[in-house]
Amino acid sequence: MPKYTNEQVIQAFIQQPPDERMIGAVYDEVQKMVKPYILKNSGNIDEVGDVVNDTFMVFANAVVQPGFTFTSAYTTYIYGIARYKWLNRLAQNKKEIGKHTPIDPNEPNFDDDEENQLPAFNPADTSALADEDIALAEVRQLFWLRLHELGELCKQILLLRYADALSHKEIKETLALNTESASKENLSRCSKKLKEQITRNPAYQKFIVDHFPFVKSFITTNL
Amino acid sequence: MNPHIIEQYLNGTLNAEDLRDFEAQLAADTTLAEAVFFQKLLQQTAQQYNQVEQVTQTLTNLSKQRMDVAGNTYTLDELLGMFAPSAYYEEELALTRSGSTSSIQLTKPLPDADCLHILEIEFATSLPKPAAIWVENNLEETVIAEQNIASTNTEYTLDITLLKPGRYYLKVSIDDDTFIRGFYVQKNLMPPM
Repeated sequence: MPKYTNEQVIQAFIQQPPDERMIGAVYDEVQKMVKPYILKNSGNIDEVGDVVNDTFMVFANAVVQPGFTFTSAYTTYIYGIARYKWLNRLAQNKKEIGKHTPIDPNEPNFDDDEENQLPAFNPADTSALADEDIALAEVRQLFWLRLHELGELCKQILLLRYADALSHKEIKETLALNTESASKENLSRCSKKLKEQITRNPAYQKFIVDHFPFVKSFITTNL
Repeated sequence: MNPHIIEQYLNGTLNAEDLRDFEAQLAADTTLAEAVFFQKLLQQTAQQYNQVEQVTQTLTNLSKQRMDVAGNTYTLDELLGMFAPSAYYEEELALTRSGSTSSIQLTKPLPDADCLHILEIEFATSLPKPAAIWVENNLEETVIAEQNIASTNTEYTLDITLLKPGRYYLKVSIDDDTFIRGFYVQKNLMPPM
């Protein structure tokens, strides 16, 4: 069984400040699930670390969204993200995905969790794994990372505008810009820069192509 | 397309007529749909940016807290296991504290000392006979094999570089008299029990 309930996990991630002990426990669970899975599927120990961190960050970006709910145990969601990321990585690296081995629930490092005993799937068919929720969570992580990597002024303007909902007049005052136009111009420039960085990313492009009906419905939902 | 209108659409501030026009355009124009999707995700990302950053920072701090001097990181469960005391040895230590019956007296290491790389052993008096010393972990497994100390020695240093962080027990034995002392390696990694 997972150590915590889905609600406890969500609460740990959204509370101020986040619950350090729970965050650590969830990270440990990611590690415990991902490590044997990667090692059994053409991965090495260095790749385990990358996939663990990526999986955790995708998970975090999804869970903090207002109204987020799990449709299964959170451990299943973690496994789904890890599997999705790893199979995409194998495909990119042209490794032998035909030899893919799902997680063995009898593995000593793996929780004896019925939720984790996922139905069989065709490992060669990565599109079958492209669950929309998981793919969207990965795109969310991409947005967060690119925003994080933007220059400080750009990041500040985008956050002031879209997180704090400030007017251009308020942004001008907050950032001590000369004019409101400077705020508008910078917002436009920074949005464009961010958009270029995200839209040229193959994962984003693939998401749009593979999930366009979902993209359209997402626009009008409260997700 | 005007980004301002997309913002107004997402913020629900378009008037009824503009909304109708925009929705009609949205249904027919895939580029516009993608632009609206992008803007919606951008706004949501911005709104949750600080929370994700805090989670990231929390994890970074945790990684530092769980990293040993060799750069290995451990899960909470691993650390709890490594630092869990041996009930049997802790009982013996409690008896020792309440009045040892052993003729062996140690001035170093101090009880529950936090050690790194080396374990300095110092006897209060010269040993009456050669002694054997070894170290066991909290599972009562020997992790540093028995070594002999001549009776003329009052000080001895053990290399414990290879010991992972955790709870350990130094054992000193002369004939059938065995003395035990608990110590830690990198106690700073010990999680609250």
